[in-house]
Amino acid sequence: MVKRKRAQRILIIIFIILFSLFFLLPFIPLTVWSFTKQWPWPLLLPEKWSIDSWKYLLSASGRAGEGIVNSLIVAALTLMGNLLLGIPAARTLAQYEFRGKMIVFSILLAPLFIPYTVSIMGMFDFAIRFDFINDYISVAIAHLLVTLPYFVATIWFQFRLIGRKLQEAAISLGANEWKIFIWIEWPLLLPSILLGSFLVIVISFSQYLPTWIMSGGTLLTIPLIMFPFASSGNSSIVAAYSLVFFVPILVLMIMYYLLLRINSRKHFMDRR
Amino acid sequence: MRLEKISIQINNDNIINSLDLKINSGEIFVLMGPSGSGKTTLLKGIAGLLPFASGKQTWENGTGTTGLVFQEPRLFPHLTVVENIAFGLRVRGISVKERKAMALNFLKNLQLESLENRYPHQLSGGQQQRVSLGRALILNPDLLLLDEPFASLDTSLRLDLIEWLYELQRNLGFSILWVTHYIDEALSVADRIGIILNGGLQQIGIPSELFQKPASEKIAQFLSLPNRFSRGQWRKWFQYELNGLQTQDRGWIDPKHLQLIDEGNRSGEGNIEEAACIISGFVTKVRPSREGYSITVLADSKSLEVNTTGWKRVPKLKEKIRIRVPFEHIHWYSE
Repeated sequence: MVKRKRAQRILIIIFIILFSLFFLLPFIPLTVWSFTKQWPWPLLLPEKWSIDSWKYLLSASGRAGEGIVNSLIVAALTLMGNLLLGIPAARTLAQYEFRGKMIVFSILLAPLFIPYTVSIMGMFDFAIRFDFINDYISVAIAHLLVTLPYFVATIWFQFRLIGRKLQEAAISLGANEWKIFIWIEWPLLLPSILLGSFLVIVISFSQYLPTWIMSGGTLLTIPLIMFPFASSGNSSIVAAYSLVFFVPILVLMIMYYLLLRINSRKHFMDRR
Repeated sequence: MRLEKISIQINNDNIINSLDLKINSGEIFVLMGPSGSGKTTLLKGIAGLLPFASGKQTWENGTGTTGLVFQEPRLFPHLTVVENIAFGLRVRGISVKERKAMALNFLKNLQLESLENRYPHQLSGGQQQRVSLGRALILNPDLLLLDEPFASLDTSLRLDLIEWLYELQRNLGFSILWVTHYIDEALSVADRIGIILNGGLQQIGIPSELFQKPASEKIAQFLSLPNRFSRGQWRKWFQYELNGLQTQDRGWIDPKHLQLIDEGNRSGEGNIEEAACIISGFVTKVRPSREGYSITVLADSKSLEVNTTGWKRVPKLKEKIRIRVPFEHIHWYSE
């Protein structure tokens, strides 16, 4: 029995190490590349090291700070759009029956199934017609189209789990729709909303074409800054930008787990 | 509370049809009916969860409030016991301090002292249902609506909670409209019982009245009244014209009033008074009961249920048997 438990423990540790390596391994060559200009095959490590890429990235012409700020503003606007549109849409689709429900659901999820090029052409037309709209907002609208299906699907599932029974109980105690949402549904939805928000921000961070089309290439988010270097084959600078790009995502991931933990402690802590 | 000509529709289907009902102050009115008869729909309508298609709801004092307790507790999983109980008070805008004090005070009535900080998943089924009842009762409703609140609990817990709620109601004096499909539950608490079939109240009466004089064969069937036969069949067994109203063309008799006559000892037969008959038949089923045995006898292709108390020997299957039926214990009703 003791031997079996020990073997199980070793297996779990091996699994955790392999799983961690799966995520960490790509960062090793990325870090190495950011400190060298040449790393030819089959050398294990580069012969010459350099911090030029980091110098450029941190210089005024590197515009990394501007890229991160712009990416964050667009992601925040996109998230706001998702919260405002996605939550009521998911609630209606999950808890109410009406004619044409499947059609509405399909339209909401359409960006997942429609070929990317078709959406981009539509966006291009939109960008020309609504050229007067502020770049941040127009780019956020484009990102909203791309991210809304993921957000709705995540929240919809949680609304399905909650069902209408708690709503009925709250109505019988005199609560109106707003109080039901704020006091009952929001706390129960919070883990899903955190997950959906995380997905929205990560997807918004990595959008290149919608950002470029909607802003005409003037709103520099991190993918827009990185793209010219990637297409010219400058692996060192691309690696440095990628690492910087990952920092906000890492911060968000830590925030997500912290908030999730606070929420579960607050509401479901075993006090026995 | 009074309901006048109430109709409720769901997806254009009439679930409740022109229903009239009056619940008196401090009364326990038990509503019984088969599945799909509209019991839950009616409760939801009274509680304001479903709109009335027509009719009106009025209160003796002008306005009134209801509290609804569902079959499952439906507690808010992220709130503690005390927060769940205080939810309705929070909705009414009562301050945190005040509502917490009120909820903590109410825990005594619910026999949930020292559980105030637990979450619903940390409570047993009975405790959860008590919290659910407390959540509705703390608002002092004029009428408490119970939708089979103890149906999902085991028998002993169910009986304990019925007793507890009955005592609480008698102490606090609120009215209850109690939906149940358990006859024992209805009989143990009801001041009056109403039978709902196909969205309409078919009969209202005190429990004994309902069992002694069911308004129709459908109601007798729903109440599972045993030994129900037509007047013609009873006449055939009694072999003379039966007294009573001719419109009451069916009669039932409680199994405990039927007596088995021991073939080995025919002395009992000599005592048969005029208003009784003897039916011969074969035993088709024997089940033990608390008092003795519950025996099914086939006579003239009809099944009769007989309950024995202190029967000396266990009847055997296919055994020929004779049953004494006293006329005075037959309850007559209309088809």
